[in-house]
Amino acid sequence: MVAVPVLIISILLMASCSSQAPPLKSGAPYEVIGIDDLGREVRFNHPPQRIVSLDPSITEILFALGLNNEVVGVTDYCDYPEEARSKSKVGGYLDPNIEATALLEPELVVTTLKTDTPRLIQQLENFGIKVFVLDPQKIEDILENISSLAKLTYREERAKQLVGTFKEKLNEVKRKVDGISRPGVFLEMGADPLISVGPGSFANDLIEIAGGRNVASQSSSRYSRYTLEEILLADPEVIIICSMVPDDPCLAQKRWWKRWTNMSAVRNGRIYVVEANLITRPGPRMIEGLMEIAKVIHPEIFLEPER
Amino acid sequence: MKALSLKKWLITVLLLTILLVGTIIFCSFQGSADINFKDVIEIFSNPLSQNWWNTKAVILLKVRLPRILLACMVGGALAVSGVVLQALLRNPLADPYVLGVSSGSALGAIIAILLGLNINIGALPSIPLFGFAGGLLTILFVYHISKIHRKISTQTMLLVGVITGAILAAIIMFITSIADPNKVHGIIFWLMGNLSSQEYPMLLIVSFYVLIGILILLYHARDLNLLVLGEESAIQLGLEVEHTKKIAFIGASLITGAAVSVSGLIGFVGILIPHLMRMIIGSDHRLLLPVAGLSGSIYLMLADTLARTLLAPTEIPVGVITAICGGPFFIYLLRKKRKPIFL
Repeated sequence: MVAVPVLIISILLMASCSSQAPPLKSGAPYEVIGIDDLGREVRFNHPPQRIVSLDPSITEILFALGLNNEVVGVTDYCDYPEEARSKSKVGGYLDPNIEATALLEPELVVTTLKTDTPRLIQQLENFGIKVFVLDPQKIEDILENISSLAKLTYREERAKQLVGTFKEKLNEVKRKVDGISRPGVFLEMGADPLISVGPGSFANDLIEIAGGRNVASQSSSRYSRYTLEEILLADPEVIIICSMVPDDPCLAQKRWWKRWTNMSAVRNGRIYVVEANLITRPGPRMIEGLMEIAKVIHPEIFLEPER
Repeated sequence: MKALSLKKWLITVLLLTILLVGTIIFCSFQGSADINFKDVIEIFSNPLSQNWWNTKAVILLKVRLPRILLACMVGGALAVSGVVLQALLRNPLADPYVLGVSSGSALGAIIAILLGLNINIGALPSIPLFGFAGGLLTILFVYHISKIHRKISTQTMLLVGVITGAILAAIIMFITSIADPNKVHGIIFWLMGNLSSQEYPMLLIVSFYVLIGILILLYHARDLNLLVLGEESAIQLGLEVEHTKKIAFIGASLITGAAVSVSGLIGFVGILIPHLMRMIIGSDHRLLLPVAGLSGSIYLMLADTLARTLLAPTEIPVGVITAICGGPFFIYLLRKKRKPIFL
């Protein structure tokens, strides 16, 4: 963890705002200073009108903040919400095209921290574009990221509700699983070869928060090839398959798991599918991912009776 | 070339076969689960009891064994294929990779993965079939392009093979860069070589292809000896050179295609093992082919066992092990012998 998100300091200013900014609900225009996860300062004295998102999770945050019109460019992988698909594409999230990004003339580019990010910042700043970097490590960081982006884009009202609900649900899950038994869970991030989720990944945290025990917590990295033997030995009570495509029932993969009849999860029919995007993207929908995982690990607590 | 006595052949092949079986047994005992001889005796002494499919039995018989046997088949196939291609082209650099056969097989298999062809064509699963088709088409293409005045120039063929391989590799890179990101993940891991999660039916199919191919090649081992002497001499000695070459190319691409399509790209076995064995037992193909096949099997089984146990529970791509362990050893032997080693 390089940088810890720092709360944005906002300073009310009496100066008139630039002509392109729309009237603000909160009254007079003011300057905001955002400090990103690299500790860099980014200032705006009017709400940014053109924003490019370089990560699917950021796109989801921006749309959740109601910046549907302000977002002018996204990556090829930004598929949620549906409206994001119709935005201009600036390439992959690991290798965004600088030219395509600059041509959209954004005032603000928001990205998550990657190996290449320092170079990206420099190149975009040459165009006079402000870059805001997020580096969430834990589910709680998402809340700070939403708040800091909201401040920078003058959407704090909207964020309050979003963050409030998120926090409420998170605390509710934590409270409900407090002190109860923790069944072993294997979450399959990829099949053939089997990919596990290890320490440092969001999915690993979600399992722990949802009252489970990740049997692959010995993985050497966040997502690593994992040996089947070790899973059979650990005898997980719950198996969660990650579906890369929403609503994919992953039937072939379920069938594959059912061959291992020694496993408690198989004997008890506890093989489930959860959409990968809900548990890998540090965005507002991750709380849904947490609820899904909690439901399959502790149905007795989280599964509401059919109404 | 010294005469090869039947006795020498039998003893060498028998010794290596014993070593192969020993390796299979040794590798069966390596892994996360602690399985010892006592467990094995218990597993097999009461197969009908309730304990028959306890966790240890499942791990040993359904997880480890199919994987070890697959490594055995793939390693043997790649090594034999390397020996044959080196003989055909009379060039120490030739192997399934250099000639583009592996890339062709890989492209065929990737197309099958992308099209979502998990279906069976006849009784055969489509991915190995596509792999074999890709490998065969590549070798036929390379073969015909290299044909000048109805004769194959081996130098030209090597060059054409390298270029074709590069083109195919570029097409694979292109596909992975535009394909559905959800599928790319699988392809990339597949390209790095993966022997896990194969089942017995698939193992049987691959074994069938590989054993048929190796038998055909063994049958032509004497012809390969003649080919190595040079095409002119071979013709004078009454060999139908073009016919032999064609059969050998098809045999080599058959076994490469079958191996690559289930294991992905595992480099180095096809070039390392043939040269090592030539250093040790000479280049009479009647002996070299079976010896290279058996040692290729042993080598890949040991490499894959390292791949799955070294950082357990995390697995390492097996191609990493084959290159890191094999490369330095090869260089060491080369320096120690201090003489050119080919043919």
